[in-house]
Amino acid sequence: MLGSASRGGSRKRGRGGHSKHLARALAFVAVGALTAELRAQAGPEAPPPAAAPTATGPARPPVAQPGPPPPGYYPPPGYAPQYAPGYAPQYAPQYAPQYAPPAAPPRRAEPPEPDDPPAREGFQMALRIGFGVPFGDATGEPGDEQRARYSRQFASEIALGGKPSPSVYLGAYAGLWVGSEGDDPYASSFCDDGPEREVSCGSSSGRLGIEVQYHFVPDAVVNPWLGYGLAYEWANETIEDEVARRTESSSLHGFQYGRIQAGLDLRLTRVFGLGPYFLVELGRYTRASTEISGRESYSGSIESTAVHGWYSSGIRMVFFP
Amino acid sequence: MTNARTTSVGTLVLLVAALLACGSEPTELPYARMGIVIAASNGAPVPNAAGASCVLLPVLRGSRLDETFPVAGSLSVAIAADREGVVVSFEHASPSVSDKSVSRKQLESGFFEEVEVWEQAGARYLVQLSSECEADAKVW
Repeated sequence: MLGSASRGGSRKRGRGGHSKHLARALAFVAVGALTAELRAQAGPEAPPPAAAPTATGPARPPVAQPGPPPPGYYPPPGYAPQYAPGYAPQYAPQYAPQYAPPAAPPRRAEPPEPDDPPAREGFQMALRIGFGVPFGDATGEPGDEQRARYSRQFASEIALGGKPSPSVYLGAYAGLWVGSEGDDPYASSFCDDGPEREVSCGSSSGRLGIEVQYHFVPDAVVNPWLGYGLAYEWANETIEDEVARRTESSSLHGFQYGRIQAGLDLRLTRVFGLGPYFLVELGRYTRASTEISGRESYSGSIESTAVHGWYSSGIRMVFFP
Repeated sequence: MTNARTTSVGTLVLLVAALLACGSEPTELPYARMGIVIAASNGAPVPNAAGASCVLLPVLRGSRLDETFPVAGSLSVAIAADREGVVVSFEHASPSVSDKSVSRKQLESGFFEEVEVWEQAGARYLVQLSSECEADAKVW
């Protein structure tokens, strides 16, 4: 069946179909020759476009090479032409498109920081109130501990100085601390007040010194700092007997060679701040004196000295922080 | 009725206590003390000498009292007192006299000593050290 059908078909073409095949072949040759002639007139043939696979789909047809842009023409912002490999336009320098970077959106004015006082230089003053606790030995005599002579004391100090730079403070200070007598049993037995006694006891200490502080974040509201100081120091204990009209005061004088302190300034305004502080004072008494009823009964150097100290913590109020 | 009686008794007790408190004399503190009396060998007072003195021992730790009482010429009695006791020395005595050390406990429990001293010129004096003070003694 197949062979007969095929043969049948051939027979149909064979009867008058040869002329059609010949005409088609001639037309094909003529078109080809004409095309070759046109190409020869246009110039050397460009390489065939390579299939450029893209991530999004089939190969993109080659993009026609754009001519030089007319003067004053710029692509719209954000426009980035994409070319198939090998088809990137080659511009003469004077015709290179100038793509301006996308303009940044206009910056909005930042809201002001909530009352951040700027870092400050120049004059500064501070007041401190707190409590001081004695430790160590007043002298090298057996049992002569600081706490036997002096109890906890209320500490008050004033400091004046300046900041040559925002982080550094240099100044002088004066402190007067007051409290009750120490825990020495014999002295305490005299100091115990009662209806038949008119006696008062107490203790105090003072210091005059210089100090330096380093402020870690001088332009911040919360500004931590460390400090070191040196001072002349004195301390005394008193007992006043109104019945015998007798007053006795025992004093020690010495030098504080280490006053290590730390604190935190809360800079509330441009002129005022406050915050906690903590300090440790270390020193050595070198002289002793006694005054009885207003008359100095003894004054001399201490033969056996020892290291004594004070802890103190409280609130520091600073002006022009 | 019982409550009123109790209140009255309580008020009375308070009144008596207040009266007693007001009436009591303030007492002197219990100082340890050393009385010093300087006299001639016959017991007569010595002109220009310190006479009778009373040293109250200091109370506070570290307190000290140094005092010198003239006797005659260059002879003097020196006192160095702290709250633990007194050291008495006789300066320019001839022959020299050793220092006398008296503790606070000795003074509190009662103490008396008489020391003979000679001035360089040969005059003899008596220095009485006691835990009691003369009524008219000068208090130090």
